[in-house]
Parts: sequence; structure tokens; C-alpha cells
Amino acid sequence: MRLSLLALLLFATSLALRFSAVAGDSTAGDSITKDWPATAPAPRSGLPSKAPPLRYRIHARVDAPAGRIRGDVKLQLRNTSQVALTELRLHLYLNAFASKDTRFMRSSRGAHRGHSAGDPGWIKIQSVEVGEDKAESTKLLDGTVASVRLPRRLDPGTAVEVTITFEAQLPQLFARTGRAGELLMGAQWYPKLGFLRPDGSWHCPEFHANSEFFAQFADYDVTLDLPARTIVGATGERVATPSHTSDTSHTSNAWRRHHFRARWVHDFAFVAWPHFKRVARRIEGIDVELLTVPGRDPERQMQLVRYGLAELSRLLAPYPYPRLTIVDLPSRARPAAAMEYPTLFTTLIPMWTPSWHHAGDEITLHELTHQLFQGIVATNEVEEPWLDEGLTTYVSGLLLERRFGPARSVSSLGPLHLGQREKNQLHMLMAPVAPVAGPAASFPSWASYGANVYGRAASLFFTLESLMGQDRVLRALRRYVAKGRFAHPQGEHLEAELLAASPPEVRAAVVALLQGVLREGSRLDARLSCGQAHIEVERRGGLHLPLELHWRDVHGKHYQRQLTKSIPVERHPTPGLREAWLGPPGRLSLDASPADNRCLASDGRWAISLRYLPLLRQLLALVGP
Amino acid sequence: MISRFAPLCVAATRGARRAPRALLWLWAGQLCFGAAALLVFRAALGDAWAHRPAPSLLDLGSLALRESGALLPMSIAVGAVVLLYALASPLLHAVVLQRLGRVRLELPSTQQVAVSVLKVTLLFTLARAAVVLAWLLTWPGVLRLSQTIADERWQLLLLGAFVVAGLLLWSLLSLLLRHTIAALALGLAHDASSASRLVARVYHDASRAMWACWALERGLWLGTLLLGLALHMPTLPLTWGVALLLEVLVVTRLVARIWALVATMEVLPAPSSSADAL
Repeated sequence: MRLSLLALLLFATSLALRFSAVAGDSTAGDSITKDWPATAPAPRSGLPSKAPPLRYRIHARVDAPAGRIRGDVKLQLRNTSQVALTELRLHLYLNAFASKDTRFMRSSRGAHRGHSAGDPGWIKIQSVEVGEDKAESTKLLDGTVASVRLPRRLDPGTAVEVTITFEAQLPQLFARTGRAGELLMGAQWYPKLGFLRPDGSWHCPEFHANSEFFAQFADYDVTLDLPARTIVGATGERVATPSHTSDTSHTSNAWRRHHFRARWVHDFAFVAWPHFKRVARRIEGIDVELLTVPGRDPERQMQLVRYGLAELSRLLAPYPYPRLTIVDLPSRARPAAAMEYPTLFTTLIPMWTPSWHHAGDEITLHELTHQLFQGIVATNEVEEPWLDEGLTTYVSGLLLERRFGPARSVSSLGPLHLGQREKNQLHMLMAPVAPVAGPAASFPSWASYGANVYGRAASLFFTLESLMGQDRVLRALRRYVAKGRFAHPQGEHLEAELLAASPPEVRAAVVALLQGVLREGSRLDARLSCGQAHIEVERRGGLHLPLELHWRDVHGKHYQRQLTKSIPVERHPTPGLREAWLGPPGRLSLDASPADNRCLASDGRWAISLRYLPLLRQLLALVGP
Repeated sequence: MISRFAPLCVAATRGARRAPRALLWLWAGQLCFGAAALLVFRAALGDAWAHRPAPSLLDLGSLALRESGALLPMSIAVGAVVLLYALASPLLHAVVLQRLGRVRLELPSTQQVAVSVLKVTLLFTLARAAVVLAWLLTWPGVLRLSQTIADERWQLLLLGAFVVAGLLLWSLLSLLLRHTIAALALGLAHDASSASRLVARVYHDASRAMWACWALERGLWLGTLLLGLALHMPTLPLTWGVALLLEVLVVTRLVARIWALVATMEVLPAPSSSADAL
């Protein structure tokens, strides 16, 4: 097999704008998503009425743009486990950027999503008090985890208040957090409690480059002192308009205090930049605030969010918080873009992004969907990242398909276009197949993590659609969300809902598909080859799904045959063959080599050559005189 | 403006009548190179070519990822075709122009012209490569600089100006090369140095006419390219009529280009005075 530089360049530079598909090709998306299933309104309910077992009160003084933070955290914690606690575990995420020897830096080789690490960041615990008593904290492992030994046992059901004084330095913007010029992105910036399991153990691993985050739901009450001219956005609701601080260590004109409260969230992030343009709207009963860059059109973001909130509410569940903050970051803050936090997410659509190119729109809808998967259904992003990234990629893909059309939902310029399903297929082809349900650290690289946890997981759901029907997949997801909201469900819960929603005649195929993709890392690889009067179907890889063989003869007549047997090679006589293809739409979303799911009888190939000749000559003329 | 164009039109038309066979050679030469590129492209696409009437980038991407080991030899093959075209195309142009040329001077032999044109082409190929390299090396710095500006409208202005400057520089070099070839082929200059002085004079004397011709020719190129892309629409079958239409556009562009070259050269003074000037 041979390749050309042109093929690679086309692929790499345009993120796969496609030459239009073949004549008569009923693309996967067209037939599946043309009519959305009639859905019952999702049960509308807000936040849980009772308080969560954890409460943070944070006060911090943020020295912008230097990125130095000094503050204290008051943790009110109730022991929800079944055993007495003798220690607390805390995440000190910023220490991942303290040196090149941390697990994060080793596992990322000093780069994250194509951006290299710059000036270091760190966080130090200066003192810990448990109730009235002093306590000792010990840094563990690579410094991204700390242990606080409790002076006395904390029995099940009892509560304690822990006060932690800390100092932190944000790194040069890297891996979602830090400072870039005058902009500060405060993410994972404070000592954050690990996740307390029912057996009394802590889930508080070292920070790995592939991993995102996992924490308990809590109420947050945060005051931030920042330079007066800075415009600030943060998790939760602003309690009052920013006021001058009474802090005597600063002149009152130079500093302002910002006060935020958030209920039932599992993280708190803030962003600060003097040049943000603030736009506010009330959408679907939610106060939506957009912080954007001067020069950008805020309506593009607002319309996307309006659409996304309505569709997510209709399809799965309503957004339960009273406020949502969207941060449309400047280009230089790209390492912090495309990240979700409770009630706040970051995105980036530069003003020169044409209306037909939806990469930025995809970021916005993807991060908005994360408000549901991981924001409200708070799965473990460290151990089962596919549950939020895979589901979010699938659901936001549906939203984009519906808004921009299935074949044009990534990019669309006349005959050049690309859809979400193809993009997922390209993404999953960028690294070898691995079991999708593995923990984040089990993937050998960021490319492998992305290809499997995003691309392959989303393609799994599109394949499930082709077996069960989209309405049944969405029904399963609605039940999963209804049961898992403000809880921490696991993969087995989602699988159970999918199996319960699948019709009996395809249940065995669904079981085999989930097992093969999630745990075994099985491949699906079907290949067609056309002779003058026969078709050969070859099946490689461990996944054998029922397929349809379609072909058309020289008179244009269409034929179809079911392929249900797991035979490695089948040969079908087809007199007068013109072209053949495999189906049904979406069934081959997981195929490892999509190029050979269609073939032409050999005498049709010269016509293709003629089609390309004038185009190639014009391209060659670029280097002529 | 009309008074300036009229004599050019007459001169170029007179010249064009003299060399339909030369134009045919130019067209055939370009067709051969297109066919060579097509064969390499077909070989590179392999399976995708055999399987799809119009391979999508999903196909291309998947093949690229699966067969990345074969990338280097195929890149060399594609690069070789492109480089050969870059060198041969100016020679083809020179031959055509020589046939079209005025007979006010005793024209040098085709071999002499070929050697001069080849030298000039190499020089300009290096210059264009340097422009591309310099642009690529400077781009990250310009991008970083632009990102220090808070207002994205000013960022866009800066980046846009940089992109346009790069494109203009490339176009200018192409135009210079084209006119230098014309000066050599028409016997108005005998080496690169004198040709460049002559071209400078052409630019001075015939700037408006020359830029109009250039715009016409580039417009035709872009139109043909876009039409070529549009014709890859799967619903539009590739008929002989469509193929013919594309070829007519390609030939029109060739004629327009040659016409533009001859026309702009025609504004020069008589050979004796131009030789004096050189």
C-alpha cells in the first residue's frame, strides 16, 4: 500500500475536510438523524434540597498578573464513610508543575495538548488546624497529594472543621491553569479534598497528564481579592457587586473583593483578565454570562448556548443551576481553553473563524454538555474517563449534527465538508486500539487517550445507534442521568441501562460490542474488494457485527444481502457489477480502515482519474512561472 | 487606458497567430505533467482510489495513518514531479514565447534561451523557496506578537497583513520570473542581469496594463481551480462535456498568460534603443 505527501498534507492541515462522498452514498448521519425521536420531557428538577456533606469556605488574595495566591480554606467535612477516619487526603495539583520530575511532567513529557510547559507552579500548605488543634500535613508521592493526620478519630456521621492556610504560584499557562500575560486562569489552585469512599479509603491519586478530576459534591463560599481593574468570572453565583477591600496591606483603590457562592458543585475555578467584554443574557431561566474578547461577536456563543441548553434539556435533563459562565478565551490562553468546570466552562472561537467551520462551535457545545456528564453526573474521570468524555463527544456530536447537518457538522465549504462521525473515526485512527474503559493512566500517550476515550467511545455509541436505534440509546441515557445526577455512577450503571433499553433480538450483539470495545480492545475491520462479476468481503479484528452488503449493477439496479455469519472471507457472485458498499449506516463507525468499505468494479476507476486531472494541473501551476 | 491597451492587443494578437503549434506544445507539456502527477497520486492513494469515486479525507486520513511507513518514498515521488514541473514549465513557456516573439531582433537559438531560462528559473526557485521558508520561520513570532494585543480586530489586521504580504511576495516573484523568461525568450535581454533591468522598465512603463493582465490570468486560474473542485461533487457525473469545458478554461488561461507577456513586452521601445538602454 502506498501513500502520498498530498494525502498527509490534506489530512493534517485541514483536519479532514472531505471531498464529497460517492454518488448514491447514503451516509450514516443522513438517515439516522434526519428525524429525532419524540422524547418525553426530562424530569425537571433543580438542586438537591439537602446540603452536601462537604463545605468549602475559601478566602484568597490573588496577585495578578504575577499569579501568586495566598489564602485559607475552611473545610467542613462530615464523615460519610462506614469507618472512623484518622487522616484526610488532599490534592495539591499545582505541584505537578513544580519540577520536571513529577508524574504529570514525566507522563506528558513536558507538553500538554501541543503546548509546552513554561515557568513552574506550586502550592504549599503553611498550616493546618483541625477544630482548635494544630495538625501536621505531609506531602506524599510526587507532591501532588498531601496527608493530614487528624488529632482525633472522626467517627462515621460526625463532622469536623479543618482550616488550611496556603500559598500558591500559578505556572505560566499550561495544562488548563496558570497565567498568560495579564490573564489568570485559576484552576485546581487550592488544596482540594480527595474523594472519600464508603469504606473510608481515599481516592486521591497523583496527578497524571491524561487524567482530569474527581471530587465530592460540596457547597463553596469563595472570596477573591483581585486588582481592581480585573474582570472576573468564577464558578457559582456572584453574591454582591465587587467591593473595595478593607485589607490594609493594599491600597483600597487597587484591590477589589469578589464573592461567589455555589451549591452542589465539585470544583471551583475562576478567570481574571482586564480586557474581557462581559455580556449577560437570561436563557431558559438561567443567568448566562459570557466573558469574551474585544472584537468577537458574542451572539455566536450566545446562540449556541441557547440552542445547547434547550436541546440538552429536551433530550436528557435540564441544567439545574441558576447561573452559567462561558469564558471565550483569547488565543494566547489556548492551553486553558476547552475545559469544563461546574457552572463555568472555557472555549475559544476567534473572530476570524468562518461561519461554515464549526471547530469552535464544537468546543462550546462539548463543554456545555460536560455540565451534564461530569458536572452533574459526576463520574470518575481518573478511573473511567470514557464515561464523561465519550458520552459528551457523542451527545455534543448529536447536537452539532442537528444544528449544522450530519455531513457538515465539523466543516462545510461547498463540496468540501466533514461530519462529526467521520471526525470521530479519524480521531480514533490516530492511535492503536485499546480498551476504552481503562483508567486514564493506562493509555500510553495523550494521543492514545484521545483516540480511544473520545473518538472510539463516541463511535461506540453511534454503532449502538445502528443496532438499537437512536431513540433507545437516548432513552437509556435519560435513565442513566436521572439515576446518576448529583451522584457518582460507574460504567456498569450505564451498561445496564443500555442493555435494558436494547431489544432482545440485538441484545447479544450489544453485549459483544460493549465487551469487545470497553474491556477487550477488539477491532472491527471489514474490507470489500470488487472484481468484474464478484464481491469479496473480508472480516478482520475481533468484532463481528451483523452487516449488510449492497451493490449496484451497470444498469443502476440496487441489490442487498444480509451478512450475519462470522466468516473471515465471503465471496459473492454479482454479474454486471458497478459498485458495492457495506451497511447499514453507522454500523461501521468503529471500522479500523473505512476506506475499503466500498469498492468499484475495476473498469470504473479510469473515470476517477479523469475527474482529478484538471484539478491536479491547476495545483501544479502554483509552482510554475 | 484604452489607448494604452489597443496597441498591446494588436501586437499580441499578431504574435498569437504565428504560433498555434507552440501553444499546443505548451498545453500538451502541461497535460503530460498533470498525467504524471495523476499517476503518482493514484499510486499513492492505492486502495482509496480503487474503492471510491471520490475518496474522502476520512479515507485519505485512514490510509495515511495505516501506511505511514510508505510516506517517505511517496513524498519523494510527488516532490520530484512538482520540482520537475517547476523547472520544465518555464522552459515550455520560453519556447512558446520565442515562437511568438517579435522579429525585430535576431533571436538567440532555442538552446541558448533554454540555458538562460534554466539559470533564471533555478535562481527564482531558490528565491521562492527562501520566501516560503522565511515566512514559515517568521510566522510563530508574528503570531506571538499578535497575541499580546487584546483586541482581536487588531490581531486579525496584523495577521492578515502578514499573510497578504507573503502572498504578494510570492506573486511578485512569479511575475518577475515570468517577465524575465519573456525578456530572454524574446531576445530583449541575454542574461539575468540585463533581463531584470528590462523587466524593471516594463514594470515602470506598463504597470497598469501588466497588472490588469496578471489579474485576468490569476482570475482564470482561480476560476478553473474552483470549478475543478466543484466538479468533484458526487452528484455531477464527469461527462466529456464537463471535461471539455475544463480544458477550454485551461487553454484560455494559457493563451491569456502568453498574451499578457507579449503585450507587456510590446510596450518597450524599439530594439536598438532598448539595447542602448541596456
